Amino acid sequence: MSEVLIRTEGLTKTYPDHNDGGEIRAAHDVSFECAAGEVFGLLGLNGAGKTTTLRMLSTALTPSSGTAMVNGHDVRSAPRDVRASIGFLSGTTGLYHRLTAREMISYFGELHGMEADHLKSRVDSIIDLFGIDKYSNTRCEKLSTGMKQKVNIARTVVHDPPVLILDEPTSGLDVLAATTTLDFVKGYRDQGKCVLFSTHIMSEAERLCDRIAIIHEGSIRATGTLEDLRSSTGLHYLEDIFRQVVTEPVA
Amino acid sequence: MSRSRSAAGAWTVLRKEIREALRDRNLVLQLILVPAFLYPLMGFGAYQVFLISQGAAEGKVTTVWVDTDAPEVISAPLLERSNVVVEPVPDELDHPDRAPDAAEFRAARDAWSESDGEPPAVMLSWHRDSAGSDVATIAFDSSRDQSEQSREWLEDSVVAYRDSIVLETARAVGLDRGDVELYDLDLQNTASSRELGRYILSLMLPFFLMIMLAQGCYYSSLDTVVGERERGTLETVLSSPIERSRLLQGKFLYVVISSLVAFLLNLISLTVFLTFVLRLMDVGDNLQFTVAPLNVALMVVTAVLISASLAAVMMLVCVPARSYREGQAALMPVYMVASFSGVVVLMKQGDFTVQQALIPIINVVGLLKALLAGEPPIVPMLVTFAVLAVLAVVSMRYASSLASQEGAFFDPEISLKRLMRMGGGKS
Repeated sequence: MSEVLIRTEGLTKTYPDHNDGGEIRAAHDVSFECAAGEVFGLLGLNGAGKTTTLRMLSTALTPSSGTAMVNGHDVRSAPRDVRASIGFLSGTTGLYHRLTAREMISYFGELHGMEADHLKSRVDSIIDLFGIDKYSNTRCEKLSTGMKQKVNIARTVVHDPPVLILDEPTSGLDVLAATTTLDFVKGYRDQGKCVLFSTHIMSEAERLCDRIAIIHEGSIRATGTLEDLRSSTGLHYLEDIFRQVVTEPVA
Repeated sequence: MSRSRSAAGAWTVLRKEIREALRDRNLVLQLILVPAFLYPLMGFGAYQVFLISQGAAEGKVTTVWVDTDAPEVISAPLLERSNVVVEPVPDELDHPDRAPDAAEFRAARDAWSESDGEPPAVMLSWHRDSAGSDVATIAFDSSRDQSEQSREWLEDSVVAYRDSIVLETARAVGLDRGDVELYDLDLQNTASSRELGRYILSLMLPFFLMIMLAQGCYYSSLDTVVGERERGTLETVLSSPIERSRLLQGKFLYVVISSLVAFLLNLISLTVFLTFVLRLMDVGDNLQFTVAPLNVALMVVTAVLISASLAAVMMLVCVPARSYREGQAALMPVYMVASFSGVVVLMKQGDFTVQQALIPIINVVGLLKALLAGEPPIVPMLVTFAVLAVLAVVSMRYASSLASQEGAFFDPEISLKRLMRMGGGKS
């Protein structure tokens, strides 16, 4: 098996409930692994705990308990090393409208501490790779949705991260922009990178993910390849599998 | 990550914020164009109004009613004015034993206005009281410029006539002018043209400068904090390796710089404008609007310190806002307090005191006023600097500690109250 780049064990996040003084468990005992060259799907309904889990992995949130290692770095003790190892993108991620596409990509490269010479050549090559050279000096506000998504992906991977964390990256996108994103994910996986991909769209998970974890009410209910899930449930379609898993009483 | 690389992160954020701001029409308008052109536009507008009103006044005929019993010499100075017409008081108001009261004059004036057009601006009636003394009564309307102006002309003329009678009588009994008037009153103004200019500057300029400082912080805080959330770029920035404190520093510097740019442009614009106006008015050496370089430097120090505090407070207030509208609503009370509470100092006569120096905003306006007016009082100035420095450090540290709380950006139910409780460790 390839090198494991994301490993979580018993990852839990609770919030104080301001209404009744109790606790809200946004994620509970989440454990999984994701290796290089793999797309690992986190499949769940809205509010299932996907975003909370991804935010703990991106160090935006601190786990209440449990551990998580990203590219060999602990999210608690080495959050900056974790952030330097990841590229993060969600469907609601926007662009700085008044920056050009090139400036946008360069800005995130600078935030990742890339040296000026290396950054310039990397930005040139990534602009070429995504086919946005014609629009590279156009302000982001004037770009089409598809072009904006390309710029967004380009700025996510400008520092060539070994781990990509995508939180419902196609939500709110039109078909062409969504396809651009999914094609990119496949290509990135083929480069040997680790991709953690959260979605509530079954077809995306079926098409794209090497392994899938079904998350519901903060807990992972099932994990495996699509074939594993089919054989364990006796169902063929992921939608049916998902429905059965989330409606089963928790053991 | 090394310290220098961390600092470079703040610099990267600052450069990006400035670049974006310079491309934002609203921000450029509010922070650069308004301060730069505020005074020229206001001055130009006022000058045009002045020209129009002067032209209107010159072309307008003022009618003055003068009692036929009044000595003719009183009307003479009025008749020398090309735009004044002197007419006798109408018979219905010409009482032999008393002057018509204000109500009668008003009624007659209104009736005249309806039937004969331009009403009289002022009326002088003349009668002798029961003790045998002549009484001159001037009826006028202080709510009308034309009437007020005519009243002054008429009053000067009546007083001059009385003085001439007194002198004439004194000469008749062998007294000269000195025996009658006893003394001359000679007014000597010790204010130099420069001091007079400074005094005029200190009347309103501190108020405008404080508004500009608050405005600079207001717009840039909204843009850099709420804008980041509304555009959906916040989470991606927070998932980059830059330390949250460095991110905050970069944004904080941007807000302070915006505020100072608005402040300095305001100051420069006013200086240039006043120089232009002085030439236009041809006042020569009577008025000089110059402030000593040291005072300007001290004003900039004051501006830096209050900008730092305002920037920290305004950025903090913006954190829970999910949209520009929410951000504007949250910031408005802070903006109003920062902009207008200093008016108290401008309305109050007297020196800048230590007590005033202890109250933020009041101390800024008070110190700016003192620095514009002349030599600043050392102790209140030092107290002001100390208060502002402490306030700036405390607000920056507090804002920084709150911004480092994960709930500040990711709690969907975050509010300013809850954010403050986080600062108190009650999250």
